[in-house]
Amino acid sequence: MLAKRLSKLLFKYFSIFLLLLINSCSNSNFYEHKVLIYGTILEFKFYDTNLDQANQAIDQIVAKLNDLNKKFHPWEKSLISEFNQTHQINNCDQEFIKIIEIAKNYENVTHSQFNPAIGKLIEIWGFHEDIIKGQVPDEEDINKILVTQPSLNQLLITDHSISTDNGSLKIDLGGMIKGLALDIAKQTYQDMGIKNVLTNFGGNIYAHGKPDKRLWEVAIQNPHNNKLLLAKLKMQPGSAIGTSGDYEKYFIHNHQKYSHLINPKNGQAFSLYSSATVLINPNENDVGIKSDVFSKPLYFSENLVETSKSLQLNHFFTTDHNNHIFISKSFADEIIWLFNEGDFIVEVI
Amino acid sequence: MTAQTINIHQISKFCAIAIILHSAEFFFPTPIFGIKPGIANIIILFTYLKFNFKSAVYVSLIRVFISSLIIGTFITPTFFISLSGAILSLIFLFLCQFLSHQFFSIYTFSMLMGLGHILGQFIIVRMFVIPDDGVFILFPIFLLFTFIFSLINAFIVSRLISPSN
Amino acid sequence: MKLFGYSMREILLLKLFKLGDFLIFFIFISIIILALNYYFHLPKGDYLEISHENEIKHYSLLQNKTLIFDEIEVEINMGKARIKKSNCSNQYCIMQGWISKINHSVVCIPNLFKISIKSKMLSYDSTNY
Repeated sequence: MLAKRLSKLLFKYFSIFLLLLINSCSNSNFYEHKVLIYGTILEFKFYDTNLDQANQAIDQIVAKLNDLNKKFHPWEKSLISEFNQTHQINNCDQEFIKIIEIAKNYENVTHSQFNPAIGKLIEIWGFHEDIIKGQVPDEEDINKILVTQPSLNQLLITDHSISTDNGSLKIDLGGMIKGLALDIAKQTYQDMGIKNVLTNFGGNIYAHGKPDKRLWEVAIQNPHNNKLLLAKLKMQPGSAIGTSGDYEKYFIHNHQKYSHLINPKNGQAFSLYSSATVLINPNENDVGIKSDVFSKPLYFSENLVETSKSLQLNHFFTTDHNNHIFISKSFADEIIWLFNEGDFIVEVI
Repeated sequence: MTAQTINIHQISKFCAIAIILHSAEFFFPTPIFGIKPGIANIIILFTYLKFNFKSAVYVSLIRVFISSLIIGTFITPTFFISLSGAILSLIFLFLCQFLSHQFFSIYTFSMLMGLGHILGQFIIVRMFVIPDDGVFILFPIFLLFTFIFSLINAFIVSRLISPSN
Repeated sequence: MKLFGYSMREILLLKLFKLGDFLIFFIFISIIILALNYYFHLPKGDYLEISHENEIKHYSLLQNKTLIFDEIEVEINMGKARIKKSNCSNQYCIMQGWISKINHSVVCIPNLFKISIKSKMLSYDSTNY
């Protein structure tokens, strides 16, 4: 009797052992951690990293981001909001000035299609509140601001102060802050010698290193339905991806959707496209910032080929309101589409 | 000549037969790669029934080693596949000993030995020879043939046993 | 009908087989049927994975395309794929024909070439939005 039971047990354990042997690939070397930081989710996925080191890195990054928040939050109490009231602040530290300079540089690189100086436009559209008001501003008010052609080039920058004559100039770095956070994370990893981690800040992703023999794999959300996925791709170590879309922050008024992405040229809150996604090649400077900033010019672009050429982008795509996807050839070769047949039409440009 | 010596002689004869059967089988053509009637199992099962488990182990392992030397596949992947199949087959045979004789006959023994044999082969093939999960697609077909052949083998064993018993 | 001196009736009346044997038969046959069923009724795949000399590439199945890799030609046709041309001597890979279900694959061993169908349900590390 005992022998029979024993043999049955042996059979059972043996088959389990076999199954385990067959499934001998397991991914137990990952450490995932999520942090909520001023309304945005920050996700880390470390591979093969010492736990203490990983947590240390997370703490450092979060501390730096809190610092950024104190300096640059567009409407809560911050240095920038103070500037936006008084158009002048002194006693700025090096870092603050440096970031303003970076923002100005990217405004120029994108020919003001990314324009951090249109904070006032964003405000009158009601997006400078925690709860979006949903007001459509008068054309007059929009034009009053546009006429002054707000630009960071109108700032007088010294090594400890910034000021401007343009009363309609308000700084809003919302379009680059996520990218900046990713670059800060990258620097932290390099300083601490952390080799492989995937960082997702509010949807913007930076791929540091890779998990062993494969690459970090990232899925891209369907712009029309956040429960579905549009595509998937593998990220080369050091690359970053960012998407700007009208589906994150918006309001609907009279059956028209108005998004928080304001066109700096005409002050309007919509564009031809629903979303624009860019993938920045590894080993470029400011990988994070570029992945954030460069999606805006594409989103507002009237000629994707021209815009992408001027920004030297070869991996990008946009989706429009009629379910067309316009994608560059290089990107089309690497991406895997995940939508159901017929949901989207892909055009390679 | 003691009973023990006679036994050793008999067992060695069985070994010899097992080696011949295994080697001959190697050269038989098969419609699907790797599927063999496993006639050596007849002798192994017979040895187990006539003597004991230990003898069956000897016969089986000696068969694997010597056959591979004769055929020329010693230390090749074929040898390890064969060895792995033989070992697992013997392990299953060992476990079969605990089955009640009232409910299980040699047909079960034969089927389980056959199962052990192909499992052992698949494991080594998957781990070293073709490191791809696709090989398991062949498993159902192998299982089917093992099923048929092991029943036939068991039947042959039963006919061998009856006259001498 | 007599089989090796036993009639069918005798065989079936447990003269040869015992109760437990039938249990094992049943288990074996079930495994075979389940496995074959599983294999042939896998869902259709979403994209094609091509493994060639340690490189893995992915291609959507929702297109009509012919891909050329050195000496091998792969054809994708709206949901199915096959190896069209190969320089191997056996040509087994071409004889396999079309595959369209998940985890099905065609291999050309001399060329170290494998195509397999994969599902989008596979894992990814994070989502961009």
